[in-house]
Amino acid sequence: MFSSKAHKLLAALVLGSVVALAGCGGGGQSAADPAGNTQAAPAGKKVLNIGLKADPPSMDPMVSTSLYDRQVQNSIYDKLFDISPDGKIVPMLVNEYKVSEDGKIYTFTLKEGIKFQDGTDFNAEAVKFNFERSLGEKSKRRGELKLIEKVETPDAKTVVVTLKSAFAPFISVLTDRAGMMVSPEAAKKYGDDYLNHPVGTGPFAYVEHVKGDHITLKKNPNYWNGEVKLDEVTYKVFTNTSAAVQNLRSGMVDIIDEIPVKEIPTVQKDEKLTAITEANMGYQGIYLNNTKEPFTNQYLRQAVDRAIDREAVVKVLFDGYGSPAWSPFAPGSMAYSEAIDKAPKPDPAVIKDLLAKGGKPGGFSFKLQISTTPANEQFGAVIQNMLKQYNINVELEKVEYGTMLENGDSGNFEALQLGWSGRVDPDPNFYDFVVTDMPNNNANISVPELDEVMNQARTEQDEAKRKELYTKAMEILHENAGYSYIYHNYDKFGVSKKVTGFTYVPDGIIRVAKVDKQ
Amino acid sequence: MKSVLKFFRTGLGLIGAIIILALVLTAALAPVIAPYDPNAQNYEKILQEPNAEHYFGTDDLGRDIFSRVVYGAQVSIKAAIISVGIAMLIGIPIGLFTGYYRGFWDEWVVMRVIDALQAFPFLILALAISAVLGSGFGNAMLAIGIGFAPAFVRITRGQVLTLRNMEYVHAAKSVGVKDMRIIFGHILPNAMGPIIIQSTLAMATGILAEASLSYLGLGVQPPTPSWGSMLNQAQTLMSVAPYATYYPGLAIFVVVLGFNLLGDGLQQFLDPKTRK
Amino acid sequence: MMFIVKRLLLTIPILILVSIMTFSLIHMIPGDPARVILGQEATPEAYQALRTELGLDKPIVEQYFSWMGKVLSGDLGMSITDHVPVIDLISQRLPATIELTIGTFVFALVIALPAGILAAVRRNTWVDYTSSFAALGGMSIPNFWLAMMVIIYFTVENNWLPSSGYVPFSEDPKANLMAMILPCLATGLRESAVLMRMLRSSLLEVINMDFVRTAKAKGLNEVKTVLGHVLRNAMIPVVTTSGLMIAGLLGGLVITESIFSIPGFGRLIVESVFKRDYVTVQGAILVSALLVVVVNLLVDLLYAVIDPRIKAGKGA
Repeated sequence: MFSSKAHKLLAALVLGSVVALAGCGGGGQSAADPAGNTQAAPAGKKVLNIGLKADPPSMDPMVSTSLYDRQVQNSIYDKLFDISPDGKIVPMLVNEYKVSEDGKIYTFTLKEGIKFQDGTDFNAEAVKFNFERSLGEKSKRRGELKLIEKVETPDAKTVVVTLKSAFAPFISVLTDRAGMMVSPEAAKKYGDDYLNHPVGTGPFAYVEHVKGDHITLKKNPNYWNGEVKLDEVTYKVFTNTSAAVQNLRSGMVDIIDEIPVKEIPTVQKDEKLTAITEANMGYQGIYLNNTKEPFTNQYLRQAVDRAIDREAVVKVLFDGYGSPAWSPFAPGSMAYSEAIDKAPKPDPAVIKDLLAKGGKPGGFSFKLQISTTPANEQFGAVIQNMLKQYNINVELEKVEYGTMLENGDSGNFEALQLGWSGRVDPDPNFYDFVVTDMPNNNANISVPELDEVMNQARTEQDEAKRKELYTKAMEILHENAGYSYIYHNYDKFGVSKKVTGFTYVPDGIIRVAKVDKQ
Repeated sequence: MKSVLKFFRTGLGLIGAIIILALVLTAALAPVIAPYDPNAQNYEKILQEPNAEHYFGTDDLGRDIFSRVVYGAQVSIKAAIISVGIAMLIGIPIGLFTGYYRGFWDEWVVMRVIDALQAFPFLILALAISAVLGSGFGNAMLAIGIGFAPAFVRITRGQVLTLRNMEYVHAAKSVGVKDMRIIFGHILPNAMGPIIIQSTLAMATGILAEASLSYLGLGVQPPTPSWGSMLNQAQTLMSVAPYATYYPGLAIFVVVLGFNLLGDGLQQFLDPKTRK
Repeated sequence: MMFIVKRLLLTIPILILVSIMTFSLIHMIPGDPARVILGQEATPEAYQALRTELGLDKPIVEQYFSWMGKVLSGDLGMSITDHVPVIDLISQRLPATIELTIGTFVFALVIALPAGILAAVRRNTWVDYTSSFAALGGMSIPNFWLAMMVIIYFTVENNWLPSSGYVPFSEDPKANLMAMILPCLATGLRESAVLMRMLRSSLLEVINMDFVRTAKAKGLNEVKTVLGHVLRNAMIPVVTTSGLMIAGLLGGLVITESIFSIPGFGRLIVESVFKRDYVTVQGAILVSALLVVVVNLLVDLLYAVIDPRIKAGKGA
């Protein structure tokens, strides 16, 4: 009756008890040992420990939707293109590339002699396989790549991609998950289970993933881009960010992906540590549902948007480690300009006027959905407090994160707090969120003029002209006010001084290929 | 000396009662006691240590922790009454009827369902119910209430089993008094002692459970101050502002202790076995 | 013998009911579970595939029996978010929880045994009152708050012990033990209070029994009496309490595991609840309830073996 799985469970039970018994026999000993000395690494083996805020659910770039996945995936996989520390796009697995006049045909010449971690060759066929895989039924990358018409491989090192129409952000898309190259062999071999057996060409190969606890990677000895200095990289999950800081201070981890704002001074004061605080490309804000009362009324949306004092939000919640926003374009973005990103200081007269135009001179109430984390609750409470003075009453509704995403998708909300982690190109931070019927357009914004400008911006090859188009789009969106941009996130990494060769890149990914540990 | 100690022992129940009375008064008089609006944010006074102006300090939005703790009493008292109320409403009638009529339904259905329900660890059961119903105070109360109900079925049923064989019950039956009258008129009043003890102790657990669910982010909606959600907030500030974690927890502790003391005291008073 | 047979028979409906309750969970979610699980990203194909995988296209009774069939062969289904068999997730997480449970229990015993015995032997003295009051206090401390206090004192202020960083014992025994001390302390205190009260009252009951009075009258000294006769008899209810406590802890260490970042079984349930991974929630809850039922059964049987009087007496 009992299968081998049941036996496994039983074995785990028995083993667990034995181990635990053995463990507790010596429970009381050496209690005075400082916490910092508990790290055990065999002599000579260089292990880098990175603390992450959440467990990365999937190692397969094709199905991944989590920010935390990207941290680990960037160590396992190389991409066709990469982002440099100054935010520019640079070739990675691609040696050089050409774009046709009309912006529809991309010719990539690949670097040669690169092998996947399973020993198979990286070549044009592999790139083709990856594109096709990412366009498949189960792929979450389809949206980013859907303009691909065909992929051809004239020879082993050349890939020609033809697009249905010009798409300026195409190369930038390939600096992220859509550009990560998985081993065709492994993908075919494991099928649906590939996400638990990832193989790439990157500096580190996958070893194990204990869900909810850690992921271990080991050095890829044949890495093409210079000798990898570390032997192992371990990603540890700390759902409690204070605990992550404590572990950083005690030396249990070497890098953490987020220092809570209030603890930044502690890290800065610690001479063994460095705090890296840099504005990234993301933003946070509030969806105001165009198709649900009371926000079917444009003036009421504007009233909420204009009543939020962004400077104060950033100061109170982040001690200045964040920048006020009024657009999706962070200061590092090519589309950024102060004119569109700096919201006017809330003016009671303006808001009163908007409320009157919206038919609610005495104010109104709405429900704001926020997720259950303490940080989000604080954010909600601050917004509630700010709007109260204009007689706009915010009822906070705490919703578990999954439900919130779902409510966002189905339009089942009046207002909803959800942001975006950000990409280097402006398009992925903007298009899907504001163009009619796009997947992340939770507020159901539908302004034909805006759609037109956005589509123009996608196909425009000239940067200066693109920027103009985005500025125009943003002006239209300010009128619509279906999404209220509130602040741009900062990356707040804590790094031990033992770590060398680490450089911050504005996409917020911790790259480990060149990192060493003293 | 002996008598002093003895008085101290029975006095503990009294202390419990005083604590609970203080809780009720605090909740009722919160607007009078609290020096500030519990939700008023003061960005000039963020994370201040306890001082003469803010007895328990301020939190990361500059809200007065003392006022929030005071208002938190309201949530706590609601949690205790509602969760135990739900449990009693479900548990007592079931216990009465199954205990009185016995038979197949009693032994093979109701009691086994109770056994099965009690096989789920309490917090897990509450979590699972909240997962299905969604978060929020009402759902949390329902989840906790359902979790408590089996205990009330058992205790009521246990009482009925002894009482149904009492002479006065037999006498009532023989003169043709209806079952309902016997159950509610004779058995229930005599079974109340242990039920009251159980409900007092359950209130203690109910407060703890509400705090736990709020702590996990499944309880009251913000910004309503609940001691559990205050701790959830404060946890992220543990190393910067440890004082923010002291008082909400202390409040839970004192109040739960109050209910436990009272329950214990009542037990000694009402239960002849331990009364010496 | 009758008792054992009846006890075993009674377990069957409980197991069936536990399985039905767990099974119903996924069907109590408002709306179509497959829809809810996939969210709006669902393609029609993926939606159909999941419906088939979850067996939602069949009549509910049939669904239950096919699910039961799988469960009996050790298959709890595939985690929706992680794409790993649920049974693997559970067996990955159980060792940490078992260790924590045992650690907590040992800690509880170390405090409860001496305190309970002293309180009973020195009944109605200040020793008794102090320890009984302390026990009530221990039962009233919210353990997540205690955990925070412990972390603030031992980790934040003094850096004596780590408050996170669990590693399996087999990998690094020392680090493992260090990481376990604080969590065991934080949960053990409350459990020790429960045990101590139980021990005290069952000791008192036994002390007043005839055979003890006889022993005392014969002039055996008190220590010997307590250790020799009383403790053995008084241990029976304590064993029951302990069994229930251990079974409850296995699934109930949710909060402790979250605070101390221990990748345990309870946290698996919470994480799955938040990720809406209902298949994992279902499997994990079933396992936690089974553990309780089995431990309960074992305790009752053990009880019958230790104490011959039970076999005749204790029934439903």
